[in-house]
Amino acid sequence: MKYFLIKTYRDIARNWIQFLAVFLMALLSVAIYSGMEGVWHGLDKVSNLYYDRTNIADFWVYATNASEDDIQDIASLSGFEAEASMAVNVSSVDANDGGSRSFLKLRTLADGASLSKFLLQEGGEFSSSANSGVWLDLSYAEARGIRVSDEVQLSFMGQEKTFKVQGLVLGSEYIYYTGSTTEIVPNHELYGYCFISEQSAQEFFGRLAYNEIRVKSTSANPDMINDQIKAILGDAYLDTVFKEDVPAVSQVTKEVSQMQIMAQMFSFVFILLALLSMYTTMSRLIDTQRTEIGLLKALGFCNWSLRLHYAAYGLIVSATGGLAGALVGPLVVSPAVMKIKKATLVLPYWEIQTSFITYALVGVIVVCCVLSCAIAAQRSLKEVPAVSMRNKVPKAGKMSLFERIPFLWNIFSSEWKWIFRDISRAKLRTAIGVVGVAGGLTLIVAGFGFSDSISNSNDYVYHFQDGYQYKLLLNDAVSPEDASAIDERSSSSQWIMEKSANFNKNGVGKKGLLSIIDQGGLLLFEDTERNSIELADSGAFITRKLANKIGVEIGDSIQVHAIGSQDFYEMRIENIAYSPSPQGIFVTKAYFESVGGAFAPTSALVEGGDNCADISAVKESVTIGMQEENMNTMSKSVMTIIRLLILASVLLSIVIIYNLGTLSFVERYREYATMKVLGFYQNEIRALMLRENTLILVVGLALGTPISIKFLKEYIGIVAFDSFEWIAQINNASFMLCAGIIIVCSVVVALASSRKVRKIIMVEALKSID
Amino acid sequence: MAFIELSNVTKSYPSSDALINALDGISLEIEKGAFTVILGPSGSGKSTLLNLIGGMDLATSGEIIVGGDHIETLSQYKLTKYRREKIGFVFQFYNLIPNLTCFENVDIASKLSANPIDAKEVLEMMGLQHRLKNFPAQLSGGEQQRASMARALCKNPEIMLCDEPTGALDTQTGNNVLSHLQSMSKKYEKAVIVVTHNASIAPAADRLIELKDGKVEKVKDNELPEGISQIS
Ligand SMILES: Nc1ncnc2c1ncn2[C@@H]1O[C@H](COP(=O)(O)OP(=O)(O)O)[C@@H](O)[C@H]1O
Ligand SMILES: [Mg+2]
Repeated sequence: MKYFLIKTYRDIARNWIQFLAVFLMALLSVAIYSGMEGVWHGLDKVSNLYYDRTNIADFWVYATNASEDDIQDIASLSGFEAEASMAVNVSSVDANDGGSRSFLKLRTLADGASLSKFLLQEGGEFSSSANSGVWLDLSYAEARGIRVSDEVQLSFMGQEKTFKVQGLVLGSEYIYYTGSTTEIVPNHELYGYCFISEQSAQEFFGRLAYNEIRVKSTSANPDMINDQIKAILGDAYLDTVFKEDVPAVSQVTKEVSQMQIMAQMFSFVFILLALLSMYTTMSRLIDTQRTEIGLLKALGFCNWSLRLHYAAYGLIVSATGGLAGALVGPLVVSPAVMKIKKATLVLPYWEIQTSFITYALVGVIVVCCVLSCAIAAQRSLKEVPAVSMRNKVPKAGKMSLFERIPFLWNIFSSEWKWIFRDISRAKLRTAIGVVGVAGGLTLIVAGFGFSDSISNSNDYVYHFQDGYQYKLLLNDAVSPEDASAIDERSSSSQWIMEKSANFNKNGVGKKGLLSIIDQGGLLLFEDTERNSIELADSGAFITRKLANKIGVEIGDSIQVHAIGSQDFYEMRIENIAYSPSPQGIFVTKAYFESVGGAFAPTSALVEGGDNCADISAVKESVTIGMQEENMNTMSKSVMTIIRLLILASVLLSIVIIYNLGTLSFVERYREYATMKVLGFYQNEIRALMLRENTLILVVGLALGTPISIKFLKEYIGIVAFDSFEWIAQINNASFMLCAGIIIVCSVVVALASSRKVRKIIMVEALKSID
Repeated sequence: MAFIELSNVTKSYPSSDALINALDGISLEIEKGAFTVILGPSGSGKSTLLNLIGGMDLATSGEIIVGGDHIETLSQYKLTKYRREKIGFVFQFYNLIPNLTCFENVDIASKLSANPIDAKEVLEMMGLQHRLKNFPAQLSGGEQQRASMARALCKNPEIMLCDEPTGALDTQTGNNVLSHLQSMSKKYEKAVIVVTHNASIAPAADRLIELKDGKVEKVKDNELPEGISQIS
């Protein structure tokens, strides 16, 4: 046994490059997986704990002015807890940032409220007696430099009141909070949330108008509770939103599954490559040890102990690689990924935690590697000792398939014939080479294509589709004077109403944005073939991605439900628009009114004017550049993860190509030595080696090109956000660059491994046995 | 001046305690068109000597002059050029390239030379005209060695170096190979040097060199060498 251990150690030391390749692949695949899992699993765990500790509601019922009696009636029902509160958007001015306005979502808390509580981070606990006290969003306070006991002045529809900051808090309903349906990335400096007591609200607003009821069922079925509440509220009822549709929950779910998919796809490819490398490495090692195997068998070792011996290589290399990966992932990969997630999500704390799946993955890799070693050993073990102890089986030359077509075959020189035969003899090795090249190309194209697709889609939205300079977000009520002031101060303007809505066709529903557009030419549309189309008063345009998701075709009718209201509309789809964002449907004001809607603009698009910030109806004005910037921030969060994966894959491709170069070199060492003796110059031998590499490269690129384009499409489809369609495409220049990178890598690696020709010692290599 | 001249050539290898002299101050002369046989027991330095003449290894000291050129002073590149143009090597274990047919093995070598002998012609001379499309593994040992000789000869080198060419063959086949080598030296005016530890072919050599412990033990010139076929 001791002899076996020493032998294993020496064999690994002697073939360290190949074993290193397997080691690295095991390491990388586990590191990527565990690194990502550390984040998503941690995120999943912490967010669930957060939901639990804050006792988040099961669903939210929205109402207009629910009466005190209604609330009492609901409270008297059994099987669930319900708490009513008043929630409004207020604007805030504090001492910081030169008195600029920011926006807070304000919610009242009753005495002893227990649903969707906040977690106090700093300052004093909530108390209803603290008059004029406010508990403020921690991220918002930090972004604006507000501290406990500072003062903020809140205003709501003309009423103003100064509040003292009692505490800084975090609420699980706001894990993902952007402040507006059209924003994608949180802007903590501008949007936050706060809590005040009912008494303070009474003083501030003059009255309490409950418009949100949080419900947590204890025993009854949520749908039944919902129906009961609906019945009590009657006309006051607006809408119900369940927990899984709340951004604080759905965004977390989406990001967790996005990370999961990315990690699984890449790990799968890596593991496959690790297995192939392990198999080729072991096959070669065992081939060179046929004599030893024969000897050991002749000495009386049974097949099982030999099989175990060779399986030990797989065990050692893959287990150390896998465990190292499980260590490196959470230490290196997780922090990088987590940093990105912190840009969109707010949690009281973050935790990196891998699950047993990481270790199961290590187990799978180990088992597969061990098996591939055992299978590789199987061939030699089947031989009787007398045969395998013969010094060396002369490798039989073999016709390549190509040779069956003589008129084609004969135009090639002997050197080319040699290469073709070599390739067809070492099929597995060649196949891995081709997979390495094609796979490398695919992953690099995915990387560059991703950034091309994002920037082309962003270009389309912000430089073609949206032709305005400013988007003015409006307060709820816009006076006619303000409206005409906005029209007059710009060379062109267009009023638009945007509402979150559910789009439904035959029971298949999807959330999106309903945009109702007044006269003006600041939004341009194209159909899916990129022909210009004009929005008419006879129907709606639906964006392509949404249309595909819910299976809508031109001429269909769909149900539109404006979220947070009782408004349902039936709309006819007139065309499918190429628009990547916002995903949803577009209708004209006239059409909207014809299906029963009431147009109340939420934004004004203006061109050739100023930002109109001084007009009181204008809540906020954003430039098209800011919107683009915002989108880019979001895209970058995905890009960073992708880059990480791509870097790892390029590394792997290089390792694979180098490893194959080494394998092929070792196999043909004697042939190269013979050529040296015959008087081939080193460069001629290297050129011959490069030819084989070139052939593999060409085939790999030819196969990789269609695969990479297809992969890009699928991949973008999977990782994209619902609200934005990244249209998969790669610019020709980028594709050339990708192919260039692969070609350069492959050639450089091949040149590097062909340098070994210099080190061939002819006398040693060809030593004859006396 | 002889075509090949070695004067005071030493080749030493470092060993655990002292240097081992594989060759110990050897001086020799070999002529063109001569069939030279080097005899000696195992470990006497025969292969080392052949490797030095063939430019596959460098001497520790001494001079090796071939056709007026000092081999020991050549750069790696020049040394390769020297092997390419002047040397044909025949190995004990043939070292044919397994994935090339008999013809192709010879063909790629003939392309190295500025004035090669036609590959088909050489193969025919070696009696391999029916085996052109066979891979080495499909040939017998003797056939493989003849293919290997064809490969060395087709470059039309001035020197043929053969290290135990019959070592892996039975006597009859071995003699057949040797007689081919002997006739080559005459027909093409080559310096053919054959290393063997089979003393029975001594009478066939123009010049017989015996090595022992890295030194020349004996040099003997045969005025009238016998044909190999007569010996067996
Ligand atoms: N690379 C080497 N390192 C050390 N000693 C060597 C090496 N090559 C040959 N020798 C030694 O040189 C001597 C001559 O070897 P060689 O020329 O191969 O003998 P022969 O071919 O006559 O059997 C031997 O003693 C051998 O051990
Ligand atoms: Mg020898």
